[in-house]
Amino acid sequence: MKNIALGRYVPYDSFLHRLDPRTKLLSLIALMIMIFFKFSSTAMNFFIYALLLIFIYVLMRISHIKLKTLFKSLKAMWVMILFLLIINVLMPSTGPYFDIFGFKLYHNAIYNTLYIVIRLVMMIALTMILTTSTKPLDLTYALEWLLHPLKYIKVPVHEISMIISLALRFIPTLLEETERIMKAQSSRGVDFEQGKLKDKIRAIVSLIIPLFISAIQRSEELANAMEARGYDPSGQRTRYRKMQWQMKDALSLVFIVLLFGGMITLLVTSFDFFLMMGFVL
Amino acid sequence: MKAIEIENLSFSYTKDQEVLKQLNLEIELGSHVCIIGHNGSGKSTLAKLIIGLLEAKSGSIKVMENEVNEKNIHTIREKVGIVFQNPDNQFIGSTVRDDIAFGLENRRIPQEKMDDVIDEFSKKVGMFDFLDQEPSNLSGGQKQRVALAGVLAMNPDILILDEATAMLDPKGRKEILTLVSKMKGDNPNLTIISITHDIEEAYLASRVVVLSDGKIMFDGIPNEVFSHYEELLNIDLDIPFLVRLKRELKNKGIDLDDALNEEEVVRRLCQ
Ligand SMILES: Nc1ncnc2c1ncn2[C@@H]1O[C@H](COP(=O)(O)OP(=O)(O)OP(=O)(O)O)[C@@H](O)[C@H]1O
Ligand SMILES: [Mg+2]
Repeated sequence: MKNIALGRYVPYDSFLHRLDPRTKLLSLIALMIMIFFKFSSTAMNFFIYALLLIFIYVLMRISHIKLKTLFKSLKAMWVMILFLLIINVLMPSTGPYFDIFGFKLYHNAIYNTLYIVIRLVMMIALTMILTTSTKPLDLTYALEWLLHPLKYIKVPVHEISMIISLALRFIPTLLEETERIMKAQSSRGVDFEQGKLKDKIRAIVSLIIPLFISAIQRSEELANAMEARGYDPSGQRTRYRKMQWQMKDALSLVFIVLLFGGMITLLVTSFDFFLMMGFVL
Repeated sequence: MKAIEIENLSFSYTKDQEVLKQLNLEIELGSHVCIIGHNGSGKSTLAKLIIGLLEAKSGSIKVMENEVNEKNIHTIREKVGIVFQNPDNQFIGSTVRDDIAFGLENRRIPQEKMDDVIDEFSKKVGMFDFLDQEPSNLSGGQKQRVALAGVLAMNPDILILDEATAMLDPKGRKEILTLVSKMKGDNPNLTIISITHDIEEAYLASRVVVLSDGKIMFDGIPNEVFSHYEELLNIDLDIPFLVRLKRELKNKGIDLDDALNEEEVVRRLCQ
């Protein structure tokens, strides 16, 4: 129950850990967009992907994520990759192909599958870097800051962010509770491990119902405690956690902007030195 | 001025069951009152009415001369702080620090001043070394100490403890009670209303109010209230061990009524 590793904050004193969560959120968004740029030639695409992959690997090193951790969370993707390959192969395409016993396996099909796989890997790695190096609560604050303008079109940004931070606060409590109820029900003879489907469903129900009842009761008590301590969602509040832009944030953002700008320039000018060197892929 | 004045207060959640029936109660400023009563006697309901989480059906509640109603709710919440029973369900912040800050944020205390307040009150409850801990790493007693710090940091005149020690082990319970006594020592003007099942705890108060079926059954100093032995047993209240012991000994012909504590009883029994 406790080893939901993906998306877990891992305390460490790294450069990325110390960056302002807003910097990290903005950079993540920029990088996510860059991942989906498509350049004029296949060679160019792979070249840019290679650069991005190296950059992401460096970020992983900085934030002390092991490649092993990344691969572990990619494990579940093999089925998906295979599925993507099959779809791409079956799609009609043009250009050069391998002839496998009369079946045309287009190079493009392989490239397209590779693109998607590489993008997925990069997206997962980037998300992992963000969540490993940023406390969930800080992320919530950053999100609230980012969505702040939506207040003017009457989106309850503060309430949403409060709900998220309370949910984050109560996840460990509810996990603990789940474990406790499971033990209690096991001691009453409920078997969570084996049995027929019918028994399994019954076991799950015996877990979910008490969990729900307790969660509802908790939320009521929580609301009371918050109100008693003067919380008023529509009222003005001060903020204990102030986010502070620092030099390293400015530098990081400048770097990301330059990277983004560079990519856009390459894209707009269709610059391609592989083509210029007469290398066609 | 009285801390609390309650007149003819009635309340019910559902039509068919009245939880509080024409209750009258006055609590002096700076006093330490303990409210006891069996399960479902309406103690928590009374606490929630005082702090304005519930609205009275009829009758009136005044907190330091402010009528509890929609209009005064901010004043009331400034004057009254409450610690509830479940340590987990009142821990709002993600760390000890953030939890104490929560009330201060609501009070619009400037951010620069918050750290001083947080340091001061976490030290008072002995949680200064745990400021950056998350609730899942704390014991129930520690969480209740944080809750106490969070409430006290808002500088209330009246502190309500609604079974704040009920879910703790004996050690945690003792810590909280010691802490409350210390707070009272530091600030004699603080009015404390402690709601409890733990009758040993009731002996800390200078006045005990027994609630039964939404009415006040007894009201007086602890020794006097607990002398109504049979009646208290009849409403399913636990009698303090010491009182029970003395009663049983008396039935056996050993009169130790003037013994003050367990040690003294033991000593005199051994003689
Ligand atoms: N939200 C509610 N809705 C309906 N009935 C309620 C609600 N809360 C409490 N009651 C009922 O009101 C009565 C008094 O409850 P209250 O919680 O005030 O008792 P209590 O003296 O605090 O008990 P305990 O010692 O168990 O905490 C009980 O009969 C209870 O069932
Ligand atoms: Mg209660």
